[in-house]
Amino acid sequence: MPVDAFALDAAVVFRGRPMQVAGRLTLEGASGQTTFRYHLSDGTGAPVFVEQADDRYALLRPFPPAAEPQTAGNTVTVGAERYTLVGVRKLKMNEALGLISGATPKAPLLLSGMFEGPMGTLMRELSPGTGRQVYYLVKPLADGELVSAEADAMARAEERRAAGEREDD
Amino acid sequence: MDSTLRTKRIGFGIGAVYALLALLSSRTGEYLAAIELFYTLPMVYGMLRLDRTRLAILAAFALVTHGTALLMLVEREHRFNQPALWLQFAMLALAFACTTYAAGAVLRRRERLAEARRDLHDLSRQASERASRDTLTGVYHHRHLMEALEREIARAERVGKPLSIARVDLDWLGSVNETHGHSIGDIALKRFTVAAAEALRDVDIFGRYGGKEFLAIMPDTDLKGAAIAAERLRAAVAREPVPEVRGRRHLSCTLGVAEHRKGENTRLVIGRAESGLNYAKAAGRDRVVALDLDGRPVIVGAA
Repeated sequence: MPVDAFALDAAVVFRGRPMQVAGRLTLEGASGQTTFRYHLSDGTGAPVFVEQADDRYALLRPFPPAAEPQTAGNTVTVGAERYTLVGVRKLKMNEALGLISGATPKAPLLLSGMFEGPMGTLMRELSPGTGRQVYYLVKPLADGELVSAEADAMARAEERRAAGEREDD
Repeated sequence: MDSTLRTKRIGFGIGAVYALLALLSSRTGEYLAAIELFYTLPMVYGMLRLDRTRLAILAAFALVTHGTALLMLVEREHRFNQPALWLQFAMLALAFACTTYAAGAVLRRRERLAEARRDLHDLSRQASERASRDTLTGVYHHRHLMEALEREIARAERVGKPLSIARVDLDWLGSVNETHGHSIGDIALKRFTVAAAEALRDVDIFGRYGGKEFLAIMPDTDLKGAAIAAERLRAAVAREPVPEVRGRRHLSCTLGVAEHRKGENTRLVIGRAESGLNYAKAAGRDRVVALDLDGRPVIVGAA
């Protein structure tokens, strides 16, 4: 398990907005690597879904559940945009804590297909036996877009200290 | 209080002192100098409340009435020491003149105080306004938007009127920031918010949800109306030139529209609009996607 995985109920800051880890899935890939999927909530706004693999984060933006993009062979078409399959992964669910994303099927096994297109990366996820599939737009997060509340407070304190030093000059 | 009313009130006070002086002097046959002290009450009140001209008029009125009372007394009672009496009158006139002069200085300080109070009020109003506004774009910030949406949902459920929202994303801001720097990205954000806010009605509530994400709350609007409004917003933004950004002549934005369903909270309705937005982004950006009654995404406007 990566040391900087967020615990359930941990206070985090996502793009400057204070949020809380309301749910966490622990998934294991085929080669044994651990992936976390967080359900972040600020109480009033829409939930935010973030996946963590090692120290990299990616934002998962779900499609409407009733959306039915056209699929043909290795391609998925959304509107006029075509996405081509670039990889498949199999994830075993090891642990589910708190709220589980409304989009992510609560199943012991998840199959993800990653598709690339001009508008970015698309992920199609399905759980064998459930017949349900979910689509996400996947966007890698830049450093600092998701941090713990403590790290954010430290960064702000450092900014204030630096600003104070500039004032003294 | 109106200054005319104050003048009348002070004039009445002076008249009352004059009447008291005349009444007691005629009864006793003596000049009761102590009564003059009562003039200080209306005059001091006038010094604090009136301008110099009005107070000078009142002082003249007081001197005329007082002088008349003295003349009547001197005419009737010849035993009075007239020089001492008129010297007393002169002292009273001098006191009134000083009070009137001081009124000018008091008035200036009063005006400065009133101006400071107005400034304080303006600053307080601005601080309160800024507390609900995003500092960069000037539109409402996240917290205010959430409070407004909660309020509008409660109102829509109470009065049985429709309510729709649109989640709006400014396209390609990340690449503008990377290529041209954040200062140019900030200019694009500001241009976008001005164009978007102008495309909406006065009753609509528009604000920054976070980063390049915005939210439009459209009260009394069903899905069809919201889709039309969203397309109008998209088209207005698409017409907005950005000469600062080389290689990109116009801005563009993507929208997801959803109508509030009875019993839905803020999280759910925003979540649905956001899923429509995600679909619209994947479908090519610069377009509007509305979720129909079955939750299916429908592209209602595109570049």
